Amino acid sequence: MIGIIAFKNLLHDPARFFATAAGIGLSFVLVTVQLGLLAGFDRTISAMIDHAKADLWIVPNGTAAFDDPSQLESTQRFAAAIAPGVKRVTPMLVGFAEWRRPGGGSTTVIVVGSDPRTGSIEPWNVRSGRTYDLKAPDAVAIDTSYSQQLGVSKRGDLARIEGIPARVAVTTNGIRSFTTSPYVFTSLSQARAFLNADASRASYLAVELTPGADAALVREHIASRLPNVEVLTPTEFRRRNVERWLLETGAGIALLAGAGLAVAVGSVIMMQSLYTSVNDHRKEFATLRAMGSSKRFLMSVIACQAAICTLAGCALASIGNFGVIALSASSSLPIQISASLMLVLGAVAALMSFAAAFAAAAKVGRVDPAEVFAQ
Amino acid sequence: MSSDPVLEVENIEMVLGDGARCVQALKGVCLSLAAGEFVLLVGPSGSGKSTLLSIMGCILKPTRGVVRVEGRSTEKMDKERLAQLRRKHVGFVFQSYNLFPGLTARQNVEASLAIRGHRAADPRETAENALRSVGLAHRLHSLPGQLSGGEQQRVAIARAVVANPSIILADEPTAALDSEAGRGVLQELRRLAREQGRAVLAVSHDARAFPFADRIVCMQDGRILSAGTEPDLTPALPRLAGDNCHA
Ligand SMILES: Nc1ncnc2c1ncn2[C@@H]1O[C@H](COP(=O)(O)OP(=O)(O)O)[C@@H](O)[C@H]1O
Ligand SMILES: [Mg+2]
Repeated sequence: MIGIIAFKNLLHDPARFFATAAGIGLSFVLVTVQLGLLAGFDRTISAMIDHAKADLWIVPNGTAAFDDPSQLESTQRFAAAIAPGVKRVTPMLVGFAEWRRPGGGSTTVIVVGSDPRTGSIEPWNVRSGRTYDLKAPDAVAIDTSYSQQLGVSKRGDLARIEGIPARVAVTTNGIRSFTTSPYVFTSLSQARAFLNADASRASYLAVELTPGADAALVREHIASRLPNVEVLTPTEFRRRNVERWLLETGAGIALLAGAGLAVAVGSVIMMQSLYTSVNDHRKEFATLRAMGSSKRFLMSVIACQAAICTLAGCALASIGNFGVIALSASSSLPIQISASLMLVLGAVAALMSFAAAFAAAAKVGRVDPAEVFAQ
Repeated sequence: MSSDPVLEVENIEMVLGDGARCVQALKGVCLSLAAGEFVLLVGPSGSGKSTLLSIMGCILKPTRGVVRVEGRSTEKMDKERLAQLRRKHVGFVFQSYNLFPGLTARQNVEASLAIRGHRAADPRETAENALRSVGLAHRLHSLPGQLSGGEQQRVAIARAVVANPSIILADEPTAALDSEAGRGVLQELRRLAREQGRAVLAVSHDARAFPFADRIVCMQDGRILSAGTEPDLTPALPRLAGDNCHA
């Protein structure tokens, strides 16, 4: 009966019910989209670190982000390689370079140099060619989502990086960069040529450990022996990278502020919607109270009403969210709305809705049941 | 005819509002209701009838004075306890019916059982019987919006009595009804007293209600002016109420 009272209370005025559900749904979409953007951001800027085969990273002292490297002595890898527990240490060279389109004009790219198979990172989401093709001289991998910016779109297309010929040997789809500069993968030696770095230089040394090795011990061992470098776990490097972009760039801060604001605005709208919905039925609740209903019964009806509104709102929101995901899929910052994000938000929404409903209920509970005698 | 009072108030004083706008709505009211009697409370608007009804129904606590329900004083009871008392002993009928617009007649009556946690008997059957007894057998599944005012008020009466309370309190139950529907409702209230032995107290403005009552209590300015208990007083009461009570 509690459910029936709650349900019929709401359904009696479908327009109002829809408005409540829409209010909740919209705030839900707002929050998921903003948090999804944040999640997408986190994923995009960490993609390189997440895809690299590295148990430890040796990075130049003070490295703030993957895309913003200085260089270290690549020969240090031999010193690192002899540390107990280390299976392999491979250099990686990363740097900005000028990409000249075959049709004229240029753009900036981030060259990522690492040998296929033996290196620590290679392109993923390959659509044409094989990563091994990057072994060939002047071979590069580009992402087709940047075709327009790069002026190339398929295998065999030719461009120039810092004046040196670059031939598209591999294409990928969906390797996005957070900056406006696309990633271009190539072999280590080719990257050295593009970036005019001599053979003794590298940006990072990726350390792979033998199975069962104690990462903390190895790290200590390496750190104590190599000067001017830091040894980071992937988690640390990832966090440093995210923090650099999120907290120290305008775009990151805007995104963070947007998410914070969305959560605040979303909560307010949602609570407001529910509060109004409960308040709209004040007369019914006052009548129940006058008839002698216990506070508990009253709260159950209100909680039930809140739950129905929240569920309806979430249902509307999931439709909205699918639309947003579809629209954003090909943007430079795909919105990452995972099932777990939705679940967490659903739980948060439920909590918030109950808080709102009970705030309203407290008012109803204090309602003068004598109100029912008003003419 | 009256034995021990079912409901009794003594020296009730009630101050409503606060500060400059505070009003002494009741100024020492005594009244008792016995099982099986139908009492009418009359008086001009603002004389304190609704306030008295709310206090007698344990909805409001008086500023001063004693309320006894079935012989028990409510003085030390908190809100929850008072609510419990209401659902156990009191059925309310309101001027504007206060039905749930989204619920059918039967569901409205069932809701009254639900707040009382009735589980044992078949609540649906019980609700339907209550509606049949007020002549609404054919209206079980109608929404309040589909019913006439008189029918809605009878649903409200069914809702008030379904859990079998010993006291029925009605605030201007006929004010929104035409005279014929009003008469039907008054007959129904009288039946609750006469046939079912409940104590019924109704506020009414309507002189046509007077013949139905066993007793008429007239209020003015927060006080009880006069009470007619003698049957032979009844014919004079419409005039009494018209002259003295209706300002
Ligand atoms: N909540 C309230 N606050 C202040 N004054 C009130 C309140 N409710 C009623 N009153 C006043 O108390 C008096 C009695 O009101 P009421 O019991 O509603 O009278 P009746 O039902 O006889 O018309 C009136 O003067 C009214 O204005
Ligand atoms: Mg009144």
